[in-house]
Amino acid sequence: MLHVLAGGHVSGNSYRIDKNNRLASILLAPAVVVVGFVSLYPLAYSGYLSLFNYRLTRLDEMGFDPTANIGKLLADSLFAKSLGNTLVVTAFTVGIGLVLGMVFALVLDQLTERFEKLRGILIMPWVIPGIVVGYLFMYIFDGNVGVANYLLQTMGFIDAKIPWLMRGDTAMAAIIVANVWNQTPFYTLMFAAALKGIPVSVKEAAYVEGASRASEFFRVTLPQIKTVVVITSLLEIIRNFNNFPIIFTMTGGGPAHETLTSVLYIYKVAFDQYDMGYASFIGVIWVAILMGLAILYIRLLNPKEARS
Amino acid sequence: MQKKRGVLLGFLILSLVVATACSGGGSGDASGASAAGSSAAAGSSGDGEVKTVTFANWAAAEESTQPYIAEVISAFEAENPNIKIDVQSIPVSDILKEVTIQATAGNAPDIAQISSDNVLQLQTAGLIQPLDDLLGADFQADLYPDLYDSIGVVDGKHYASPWANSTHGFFYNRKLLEQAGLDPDSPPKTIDELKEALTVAREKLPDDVILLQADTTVRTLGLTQQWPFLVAFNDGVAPFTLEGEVNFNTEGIKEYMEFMRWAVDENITLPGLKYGEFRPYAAQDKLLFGNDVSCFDGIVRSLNEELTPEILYETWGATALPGTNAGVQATPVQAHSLVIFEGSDVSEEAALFLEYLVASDAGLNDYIAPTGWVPAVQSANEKSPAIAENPIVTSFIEDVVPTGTTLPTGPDYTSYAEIIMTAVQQVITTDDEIQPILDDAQAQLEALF
Repeated sequence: MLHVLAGGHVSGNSYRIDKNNRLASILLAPAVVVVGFVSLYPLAYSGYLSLFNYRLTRLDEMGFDPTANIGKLLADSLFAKSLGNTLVVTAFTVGIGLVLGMVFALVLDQLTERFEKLRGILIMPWVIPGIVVGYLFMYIFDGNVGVANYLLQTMGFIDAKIPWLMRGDTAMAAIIVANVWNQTPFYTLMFAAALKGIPVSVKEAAYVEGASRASEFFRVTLPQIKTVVVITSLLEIIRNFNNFPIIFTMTGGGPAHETLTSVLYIYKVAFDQYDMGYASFIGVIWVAILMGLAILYIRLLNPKEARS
Repeated sequence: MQKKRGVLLGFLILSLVVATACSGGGSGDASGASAAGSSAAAGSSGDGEVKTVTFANWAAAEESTQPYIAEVISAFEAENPNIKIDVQSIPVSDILKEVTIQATAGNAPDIAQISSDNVLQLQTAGLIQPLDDLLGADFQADLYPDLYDSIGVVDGKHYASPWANSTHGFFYNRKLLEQAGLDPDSPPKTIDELKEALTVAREKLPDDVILLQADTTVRTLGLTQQWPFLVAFNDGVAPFTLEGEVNFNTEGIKEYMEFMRWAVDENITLPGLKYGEFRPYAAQDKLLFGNDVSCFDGIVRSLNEELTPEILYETWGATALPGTNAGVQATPVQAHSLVIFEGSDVSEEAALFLEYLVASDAGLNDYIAPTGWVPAVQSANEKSPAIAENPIVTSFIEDVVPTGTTLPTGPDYTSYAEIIMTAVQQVITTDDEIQPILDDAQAQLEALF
């Protein structure tokens, strides 16, 4: 425990609370209290609820039972399936988005000033809300009137229409396509900014030494922007772990739970089955997973501080 | 130093002022926002003041019904100047979630439109109140007793009032039946007749004609729509009862699953669609058989301006859904229901509004008649000639309503629907063997009891 000493020092820490810091603390206090209440209260209440058997449709069975939800989770094959689906969606979305984002960033980096406005156009999919993206791709992949089937049939790739969102494998593929379309601009934006930070002289030196274009990229450019690549990927992993609107709109987790991800499952448990206790419990587990990722993110962001 | 103290003092005074203002506003908001409780905040304290009744419903959210419900509400407010209706329009698929969240957060509407298969979920959660003492005796006597007693009755108390009978019926397109070489006035009455008609029609009708309106979504409305077929294939036996008897892993249900897989493979129906999503096909004469509610009439007409009532009634006929091969037709009784929430400060006003919606001349002539619903009150034919003259509504009253049975909804109806409709989706979207899917669903259903 830290003890503030009379002289304004904190034991075990060289940090010094001077008068300016005190004033700053006073000024910040109301905002910290409000933000803390708004974000921490629901979290704490979820943690509290997770200890209960609390189902709105079974109020007579409601009670404090911390082990009940653990037992449920261990026997819940649907949660395991949703976890697997989450990993598949995340892995493919992040993997494909990263590669495409890098390619676009490299192309943008080579463009002359005349084409600078392309950057603005390229980030457009990123600023469209997820729910709109979901509806857009739901109609694109509609089995009867969707553009996807129309184009594929017109070009002679398929004979019969494919019910994209009604078969497990194709539904998952459609969701990944929508996610990649929505998220690739973010990678592009981040990588393009990082590429701008590499001195031209470093690249030129590599070429003078006889490096090929590929060799220069892997040995010079990529190491220079490695931190940005890792941090961007981690941010997108967290984002995809929590991705709700696109999947909810396009498939609702169907067909037959084939695209059910964990956040969607929590929503279903809470608001379809009204099992608030169990939903809170899964939510707490989910927060723990995300916290782990967030800590990793912070460590990567500031490795020196993390070590100290 | 003194300057800094001055700044600090100023900040503290400012904080106090802000805090005081916030707390004042906060308490005001709280009284205004604790809706169930206090949606009548706008002056519930004195006589002659306007009381506000919050009404959550999907009628105001749907294009085909919005103008009609607005008209009824205006008429009610004109007749009751001391009551104002605050409309919360919520899509039908979201309304149960929305009102449950609102109510558990202490912010419930006063009255809500709810599908009858969801009433027990709200009742078990203790969110709605019994209506027996709130509604007038004459009004309750006017409701069709079979309908009133089939929805939301617990320990002899009625927790919901029907607004309109939304039991599903079987619609048949006479033009397409004729085109397929089938008798346009003799729709199938049994499952075998249905399969035979579909087989013939698939050969004769173009591929862009959908033959059967089958809702295969994972939701309660999907199960409710499929229930008559499940029971018919299962020789009249319900897939489960509220007493815990589960009859899902049977030869009959296996036949139903094979039928559904065949229907999707042969382009007889479209997989994964809500039953409402078939209506645009019906409006273009691209649907042969419908499994829908009576307002199919009004909605289909709203989707095609060229469809006059005369053309529609000439094209479409309605009767009870096909039954068992022994000729037993069983359709679960359904109603668009109205419930009043616990803790409402304006229960009496909400009840008055409820009666007005269901049984007043305006409610019947301006909402029930033009939207094509089957009324919930026996006096409707006298009050509204348009209802008595509607051939679809007449067919429903004569053919569909007598086949009504009670649907075993219960508080966990969403979970039953999730299990059964997921099994249906597994069958129609994969090539997996049907038997293991049934084994799994049977086990899951049994675990719920």
